[in-house]
Amino acid sequence: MVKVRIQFSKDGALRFIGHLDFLRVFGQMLRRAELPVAFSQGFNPHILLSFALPLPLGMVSGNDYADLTLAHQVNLLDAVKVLQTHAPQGLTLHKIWETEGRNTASVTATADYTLAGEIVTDLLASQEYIIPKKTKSGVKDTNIRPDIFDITETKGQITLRLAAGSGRFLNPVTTAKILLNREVSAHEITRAELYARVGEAFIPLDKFTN
Amino acid sequence: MHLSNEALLRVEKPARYVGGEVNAVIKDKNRIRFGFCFPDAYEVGMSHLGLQMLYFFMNRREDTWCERVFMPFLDMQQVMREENIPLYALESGDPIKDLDILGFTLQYEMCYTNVLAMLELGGLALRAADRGEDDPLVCAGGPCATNPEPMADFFDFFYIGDGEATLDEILDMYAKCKARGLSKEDFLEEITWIDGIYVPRFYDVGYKKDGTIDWFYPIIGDIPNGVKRAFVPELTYFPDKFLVPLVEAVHNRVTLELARGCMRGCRFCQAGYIYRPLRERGVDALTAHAENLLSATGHEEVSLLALSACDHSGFGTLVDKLLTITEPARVSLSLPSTRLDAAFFDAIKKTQRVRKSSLTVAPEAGSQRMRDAINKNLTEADILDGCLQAFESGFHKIKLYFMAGLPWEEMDDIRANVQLAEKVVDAYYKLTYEQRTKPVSVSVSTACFVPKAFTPFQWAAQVNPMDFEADQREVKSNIRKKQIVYRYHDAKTAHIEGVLARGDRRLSHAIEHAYRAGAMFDGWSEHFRYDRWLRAFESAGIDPAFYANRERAEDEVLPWDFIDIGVTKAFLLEEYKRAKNSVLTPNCREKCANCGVMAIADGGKCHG
Repeated sequence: MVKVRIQFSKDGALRFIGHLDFLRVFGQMLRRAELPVAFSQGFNPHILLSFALPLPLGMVSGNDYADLTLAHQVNLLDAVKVLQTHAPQGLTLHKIWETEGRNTASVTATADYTLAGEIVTDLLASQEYIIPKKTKSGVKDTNIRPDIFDITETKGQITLRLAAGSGRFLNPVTTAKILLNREVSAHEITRAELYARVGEAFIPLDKFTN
Repeated sequence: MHLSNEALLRVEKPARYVGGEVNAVIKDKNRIRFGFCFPDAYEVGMSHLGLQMLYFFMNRREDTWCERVFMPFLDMQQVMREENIPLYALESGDPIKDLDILGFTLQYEMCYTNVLAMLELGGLALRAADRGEDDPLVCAGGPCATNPEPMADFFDFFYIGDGEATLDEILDMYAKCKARGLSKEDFLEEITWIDGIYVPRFYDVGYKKDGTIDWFYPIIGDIPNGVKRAFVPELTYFPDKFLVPLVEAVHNRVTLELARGCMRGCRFCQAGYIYRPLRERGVDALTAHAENLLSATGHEEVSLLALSACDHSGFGTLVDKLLTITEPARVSLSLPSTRLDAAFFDAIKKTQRVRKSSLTVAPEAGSQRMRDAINKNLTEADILDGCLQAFESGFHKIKLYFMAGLPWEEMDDIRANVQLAEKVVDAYYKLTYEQRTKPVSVSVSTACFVPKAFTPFQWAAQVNPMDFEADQREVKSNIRKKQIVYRYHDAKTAHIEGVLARGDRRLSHAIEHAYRAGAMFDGWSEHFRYDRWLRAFESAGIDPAFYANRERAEDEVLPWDFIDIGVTKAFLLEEYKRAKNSVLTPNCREKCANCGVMAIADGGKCHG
């Protein structure tokens, strides 16, 4: 068994499908490519495949990541090419490498989101920014400021670095609405990169080793 | 098209409306532009084997580009109106008005209003007579095209029979007529001589005082008096790819058509007559198709499609061969609900990955008298033995399918459905205590019988909705065992289906009225409104009982008599009489019943 990490991006019609559909579509691609994927044990075996972070409906991604277990070693440079020929429109495979340790979902700490617009609200000005947030037990006032790590703007292109992962997560659409003080639709946003956190540093997942 | 991303995100599951699926065919536009129109939701249409087959069949032609068109849901219709976007074909995004030919598949009568909705969303006039020379030709095929008359006014032509048979001839003719600059009318005249083609505007109907048909004949010279069903003697074509939807469809799997036609001759079953004779595909070919299609799609399931799959003469071998492909690839092989024959139990023993929970059995009728009337050729002992075997092999839930309202049915027959279910429950208790690992559950489902054209019951009266409901109450009140649950179909939907199934041309007005009053997605119970249809019949001056609830005289001219489906009217009438006396007709393999179909079989072989 070999655990590999796949870096890809998602665009086109694929922005209109949800996470579960994407999981199926990705699995079908692996099957068409006849990659020697490993299966779970049990009555309904499934491909050992997991994604770093579900992408909201409507959004596209720049660098996105998945973990896959293969039954045996293969040439990973060739695998990228083979997968690309069987990929659905809008899915671009970048690279595949062997990995060990924790999976992408558990190491992902932040994400960069980009969109076009003009900053109206200075979210970084203070240490506190309270918004009403829906939770299981009703609406609760929440301070989102600790989940905002950076906001930059160059030539009308805004980049937000927000908490993202199985631990803390800040909704990029909600944040962008406050930042731009207007309605924002998910399709305007690209999730450009995912990072693991090492101390105070954020490492893109393709540079990160456990 | 194209709708903005923002607009698309306002609808549920927008991926239904954007195309871009794996194996979708994109060509340049300088071709015959064909729109395959499925008058129901995307998820339903994409699970339909006929769509997959005809899509790749037409696209194998250099000169033709076949695209898909589905019925948008209400939220999407709203967005299309707001954004001023007419109905478009998924591959190119071009309005359907810009295509050359639109071909609707009519799988079910309750989709008729969706056809009208799609035409209107496409900016086209509903009636063929009101569409111009620049509008596309609009045609229809599928099982409901075997009685085309209720929808005759809306279509330029119908295609009756196997798609692979003469579709090429029609497209060739279209190319020829287009090159010569001929009109739509000229093209339609040319194709009347091709098997399977019916051009309603070239024929007229006269009625007697009692409302029945007096005459039906061509009103222009040099065209045939009737229509012969298009027929392929051998099933050689099968697609090498399937479209793979991005959103989850009803079925996400490779479907193999094992055979067309059926040798059983159940008298209520339209498919059992209109697809005769039984034509099987070879085991080696089927195995190769499964292998190709799994690599082309990446699906995780293979399913076998046939009217009675276990009757395939190589069924056992086929299952063995398919398992050698599916098991190593962790692909599941699903067996269709079928007769509980030895072949079926052999197959489930071999497939380790069949989920042994629920099994569907279709006795269709509870009493032997009724089962004989419909020629089910199944004794109570057969059914109970089958169920016992199913329990022994690990099943603990059995669904029993029945039809309510069969001709000559009495209350005793209705009660017999429950009695049979009780005996099935008892069969479970024949297992030893150790074998009874889970509680048994038997579900009784009753569908309301709808007599269809080209069956022996085409002369029969349908039970009216109140009586269906009385039958349903009777079943309910007779159920005493807690292991039995009861489910039933809506009697009112069945009534409308009954009117449309055996209607004539005069019904087009009622269908249009119903559509204008908002009827759409009538096959979906949450959208169906019975009173809307009753008002539509009233506005059109139609008595629904005349079509649904009246027994026809033997010599009555039926609206579909001009179609030569193969099976003769004399044979169907003979079967109707045998049904009345509960006389069985052996299956085609036991003894040929001389149904007459071989006269159109073009040198083909009957595999019955």
